[in-house]
Amino acid sequence: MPQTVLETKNLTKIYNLGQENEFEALHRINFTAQAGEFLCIMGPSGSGKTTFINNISTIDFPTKGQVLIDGVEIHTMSSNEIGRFRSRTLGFVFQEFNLLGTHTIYENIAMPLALAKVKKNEARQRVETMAGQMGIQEILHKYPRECSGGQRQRGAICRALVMNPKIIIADEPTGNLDRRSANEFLELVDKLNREQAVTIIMVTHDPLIASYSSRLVYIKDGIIEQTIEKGQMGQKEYFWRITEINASESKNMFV
Amino acid sequence: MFKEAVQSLRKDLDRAVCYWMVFVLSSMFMYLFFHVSLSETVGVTYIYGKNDLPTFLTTFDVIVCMIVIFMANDFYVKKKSNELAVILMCGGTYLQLTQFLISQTGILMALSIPVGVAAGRLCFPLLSFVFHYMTGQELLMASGSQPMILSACIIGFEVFWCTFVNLGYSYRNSIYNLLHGEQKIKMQLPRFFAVKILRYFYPALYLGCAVLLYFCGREPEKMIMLGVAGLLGLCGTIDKAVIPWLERGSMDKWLEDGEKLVYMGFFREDLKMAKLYIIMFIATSDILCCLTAGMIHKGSEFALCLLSFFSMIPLLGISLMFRFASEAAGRKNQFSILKKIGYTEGQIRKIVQKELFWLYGTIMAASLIYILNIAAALCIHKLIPVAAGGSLAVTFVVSLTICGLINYRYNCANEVQ
Repeated sequence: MPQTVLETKNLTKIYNLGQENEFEALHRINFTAQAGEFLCIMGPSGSGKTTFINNISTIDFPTKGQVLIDGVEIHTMSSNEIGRFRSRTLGFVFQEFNLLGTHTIYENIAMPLALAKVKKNEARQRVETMAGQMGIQEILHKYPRECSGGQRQRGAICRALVMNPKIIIADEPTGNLDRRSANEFLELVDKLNREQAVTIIMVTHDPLIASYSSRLVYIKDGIIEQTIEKGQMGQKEYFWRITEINASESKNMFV
Repeated sequence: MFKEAVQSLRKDLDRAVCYWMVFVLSSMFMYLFFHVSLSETVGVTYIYGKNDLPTFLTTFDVIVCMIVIFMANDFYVKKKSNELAVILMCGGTYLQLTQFLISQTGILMALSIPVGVAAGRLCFPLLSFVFHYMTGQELLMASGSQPMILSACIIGFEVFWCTFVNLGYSYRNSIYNLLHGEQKIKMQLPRFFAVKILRYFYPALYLGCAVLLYFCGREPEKMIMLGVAGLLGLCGTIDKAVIPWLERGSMDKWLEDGEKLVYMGFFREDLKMAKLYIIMFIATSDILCCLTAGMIHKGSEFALCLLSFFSMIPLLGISLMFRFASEAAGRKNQFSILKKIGYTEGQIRKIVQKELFWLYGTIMAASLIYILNIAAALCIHKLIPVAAGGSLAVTFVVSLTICGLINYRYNCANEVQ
């Protein structure tokens, strides 16, 4: 029986609570993610996708409801425990590259390893292997400001994957990549998911990327409007289903 | 554009306050200095064509104030690159850009100069007391309109200077440069010069000149020349020895220490920026100490030299502090990235603490090597009393320590937000 790694119960997020411009971004969301799942989150702009993944990844905290990671409620975790959890279990890839501009690409990638006190020889090897997989060996000693958008994003991806995290959280990770780099990234996460049972939770607008997932969660106006399991469907059929959901949004405008 | 400028000031309030404070302090020091140097007790008479020590001192101090303002202005405007680029891309003309920048500096100056003058006026009794304590003489502040006119001229020049700098900045930058304001084109030296020897040559030059100071203790002019050579050595030491050492460390021995890897990276970046301040500290101390030499029997001039040191060093310290406070204001995003990687708040606090410790420690050590040696060389040759030499070093250490502590508090508050 698959193990639940992440669960939300009545997750509600309200911004500016008690103020004039109070806004409820997420309404009582119940959600589970199993170990080794490849989940894609889609939805129109402003639907609450980023808020949702920020809340499930301990970057933000829910106003009401619970987020349980491996059965532990995040509110009960100390800041040290959350830090350790992020460092050892989660790998973040965001559309904004989120690299430290003061450090070289090499140092950025090595940071999670240094935090986990991995021996320097092993750390060096892991950084170089990961950089080799993403094709950025030549820019390892450059600062992010000296690299192109695609190279920076690959650097950020290397940093997210270098610790071999159990869960990868990605928010529009291919938004700044060309098609070839995007495919390479997808192949890499797909391989991690298949071979090492890494759980992937990815926000994307691209139906093709979403078609690599095993389950699609469609969020609209702060609620999970629809969920599609890939199940026995082929990738092509799954892709068309995803396209249909996205298109229904536009179709409704002409009704 | 004026409305946009006000909005930009409000949006970037932390940095604007730092810039405003630099204006306030430099206006205050200029105002005070003209009152002292034109007073009957000190007897500066350069208006009537007699060029003596107070003239040099006053000119020197005014130049230091101008450089401090220039550095603050340069930093402030560079951080506006994105806003300027947006205005340009929205169809704004260069004239509008200039209006946008000048409105901001104009507002800040209009708000700071009266405060600086008032603060200077309030410092009169304190200055008189210090002067009396040092020389046993009464310090009569210059009366009449001359100091006020001179202060107004210099402050007016200051305003013109900043306006000119901003205008130049707006005109010479294309949209590309504005969007990539932080990018620098590195000049590559021919391979012949990039030999390993430079790694040892520059530290040798820097330290060697500090030792040679003792042989020139009787000739302050030579000490100034040695100071200049030492500064060349210092620049080379930072570029060719210290920064490569930091880069090697982060590739090797600090790879197992998550905190050190981060704070040494921050420190490496800070050091590139702090180089100019270290140069200013050493050059100011060198010139002022050498001017002080030989004035031991001229009470008023001697006191004026010391007062000059006591005001310029804290001003430079405060300028450095504001620079790093402004830098810290932009660090929020970096702290949030560190949190995502898994650093806890406690670890980030330690990183801030250690970064500042390394930064201020390096500035202090690099400058003190010269300040202490110059003071000691002058004391050995009885050109300044030991107490004065000691007070120069103490003023420097105390000023920088206070600035470092304030920076630490500010950075921590920033991290918590």
